[in-house]
Amino acid sequence: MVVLRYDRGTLLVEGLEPDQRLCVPDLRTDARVGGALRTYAYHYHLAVRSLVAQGIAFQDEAKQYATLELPELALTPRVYQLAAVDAWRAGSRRGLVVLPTGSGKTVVAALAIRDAARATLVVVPTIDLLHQWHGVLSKHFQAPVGAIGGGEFDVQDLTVITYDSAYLHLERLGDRFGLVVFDEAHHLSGPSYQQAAVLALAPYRLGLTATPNEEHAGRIAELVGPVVFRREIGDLAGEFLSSYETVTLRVPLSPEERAAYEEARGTYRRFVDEQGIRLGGRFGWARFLEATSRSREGRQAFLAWREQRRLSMGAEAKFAQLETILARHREERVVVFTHDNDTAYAVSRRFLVPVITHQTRGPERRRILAGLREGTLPVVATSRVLNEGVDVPEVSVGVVLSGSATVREHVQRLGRILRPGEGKHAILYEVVAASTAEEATSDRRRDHDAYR
Amino acid sequence: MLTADLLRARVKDGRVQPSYLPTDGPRSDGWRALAQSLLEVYAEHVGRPRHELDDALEAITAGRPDFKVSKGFKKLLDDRSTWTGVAPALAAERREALFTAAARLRQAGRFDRAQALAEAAASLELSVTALEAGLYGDLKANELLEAHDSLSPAELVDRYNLALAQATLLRAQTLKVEVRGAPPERLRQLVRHVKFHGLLTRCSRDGDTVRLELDGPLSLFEATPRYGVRMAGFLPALLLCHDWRLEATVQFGKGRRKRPFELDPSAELKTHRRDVGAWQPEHLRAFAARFAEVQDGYALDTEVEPLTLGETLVVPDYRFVHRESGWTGYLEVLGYWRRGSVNRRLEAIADHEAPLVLALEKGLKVDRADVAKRPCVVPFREIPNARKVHKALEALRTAEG
Repeated sequence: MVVLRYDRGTLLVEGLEPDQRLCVPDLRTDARVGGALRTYAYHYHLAVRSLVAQGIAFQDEAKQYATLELPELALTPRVYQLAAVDAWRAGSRRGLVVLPTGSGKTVVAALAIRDAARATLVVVPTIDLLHQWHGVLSKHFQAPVGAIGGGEFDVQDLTVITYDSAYLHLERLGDRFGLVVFDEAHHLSGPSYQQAAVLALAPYRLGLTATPNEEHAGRIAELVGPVVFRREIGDLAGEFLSSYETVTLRVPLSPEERAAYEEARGTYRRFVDEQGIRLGGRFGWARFLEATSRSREGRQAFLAWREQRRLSMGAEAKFAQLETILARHREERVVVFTHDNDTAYAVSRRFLVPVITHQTRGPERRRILAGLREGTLPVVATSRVLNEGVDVPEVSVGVVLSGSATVREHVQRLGRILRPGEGKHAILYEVVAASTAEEATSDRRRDHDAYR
Repeated sequence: MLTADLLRARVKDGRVQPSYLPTDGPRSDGWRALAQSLLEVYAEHVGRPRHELDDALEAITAGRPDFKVSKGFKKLLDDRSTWTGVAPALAAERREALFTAAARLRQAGRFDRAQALAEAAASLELSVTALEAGLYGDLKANELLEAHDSLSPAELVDRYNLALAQATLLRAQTLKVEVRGAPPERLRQLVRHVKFHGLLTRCSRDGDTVRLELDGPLSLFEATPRYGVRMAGFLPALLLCHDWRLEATVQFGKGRRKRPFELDPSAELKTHRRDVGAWQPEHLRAFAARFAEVQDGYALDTEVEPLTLGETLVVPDYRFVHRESGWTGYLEVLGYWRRGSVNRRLEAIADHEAPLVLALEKGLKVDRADVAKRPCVVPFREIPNARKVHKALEALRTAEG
């Protein structure tokens, strides 16, 4: 008799006769456990399918997850949310649903959980999202919801976990859930975050994202499933999302900043030219970093690169511009985005507004977000931690003081202010230092449908 | 310990070679001098904020092509430091008072930074200067260096070299260790360490040479560094042996290829782990005395060679030789083991019909009924009962005979 067992993130197949073959990838004979076959736990669904297809009788000791009966949701889902779950079900309950931020991805997940009716693990990237999902699931299902991460360790049939905690603990919990929901599923690009998908046995998988990861689409499809449903900001703005406009403001460097900028940029460019480094392409940046670590000149070129970037990102005129924007929108809720923590703290000290970075502790973060919602703290500065996740529908103005060149980050920041509200019209400002490399950065990050 | 990004190593003849710093000769002077200057900076900055310390360190190390070494030194020194800050709750309370005051002014269209500070300071009964200076006193960068557990420059270089070897092992997928002529206490210590770190082992023996193969269940397939951290933790215990060799497969270099990494005493790494190998717990010594008192049929010996039961290496705590027949039995005392490990040990004993008595601490979570059935198990609290152990040995001996 063939027996399936779950062993710390892997699947053991015991007792297969020599003439029986399984169509499962990565099967290896493991001499350490009496020659049983071992594969990744995430291939469980393929193993079961293969056994059933061949009519091989087997005993399933691997899955340890409960079947759940969950109440119907107390809200009326939107058309596209229902369509998303239909598409997911049609794809054997595996796959990615791509929806813009603010369009209610958690409702899609709740519908999917009810549909699958299996113990479910929701994997999220941040502690904020851990708390948010915990609240939403408790409300929808009126059932105890577990949480793992941020100092909590409580396992229930519905449990929310961070990607970091999943990496640490899933080895021991991977058999307890029949459905795994990956929130912000574009995170599954890195090997350690992928552990959350690799170590789990769950045959049903749902990935949610606003910004699918094209570069790792193949691997993510293997772990979660292909894109089964997709709607962009443009499809939903005005009806299900707030209407919006984006404004790019160019500000000059001061003469002193300009001189220092040109000098630092010169040092860095000279090094790049002398070494013949092509900065373009996927490995250009890695080539530069490697070259800088080899010599004193290289190290100085690296410091010069950092200095010129700091000068363009932290230009004094940006602060003056921010002052104007805050005065103009003084009756609205504003989130100010910066690229680095130092600038976020500088904004906080100068304009006396709260700041949320990854260093902000949970209780204070919750109070700041509550203040933002209620209007007692109408302006919040942040570096990158609010790029994704947190719900504050009342925010209608975003100011990007500095950021990376990635489209994903910029779309996420736009998404933060698009949650619909009564008569709401959102504005995303982007403040760019004129005639610096930041202009190219700005062009690249806006290379997306949402900005046309 | 060094993080993976601080590893300095190169590939030489296809093998990974950590770039150890020289510890003697003229080339070692420069490194000790660098260590010395960093140590001085730490000593000078006791009582001052972390960002000042970091700036002072940056002033020494910026522009040096060997900044990775200084960063490594800094990591090891940070690990030996303690910090204090403003209590986060207090700092958060002050910030909230200030920021809400500022928001009220802004919403009324008359934002004035100085006025907001003055209002909040008054309500908090603080001076404006104190409020502004301590505004983010709870941040890591603003924490004060409370104390620094200093060491000599030469010691820092030694720690660094050990940390390089450990950082190499962070990328290890498999690890093979050969230990020759190690006394049983030492082997027992190593084996305990392996078990403590949850690593799978295969063991074999050849004369006085013991071979251990360590990895985790996922390593069959791929390059997963998930066990690397545990393997790195194993190294200091190994360094306490005299004659040993380590061979690991690590991911390193272009395309993160798998390459061999080898280590033996010739690298002259020094361990900072206190040598507790030869130490025998109090309760075991008490047991030996008591055992000799209650019976005289067996000679008791603590110099026990390791037993190999299939893939499991057992280093018993005692060997008992029956004086009359020459029959030999063993006792292993298990303290804080997991249920699964105990069961596996019991199975291995049964499968190999090993003449081994297990003394199980009563707090151990094992299936009572199951354990009670086995003649080779003696539950104990504090000290194993000599009469019960004797009885279990007799049961094993007569069953065999």
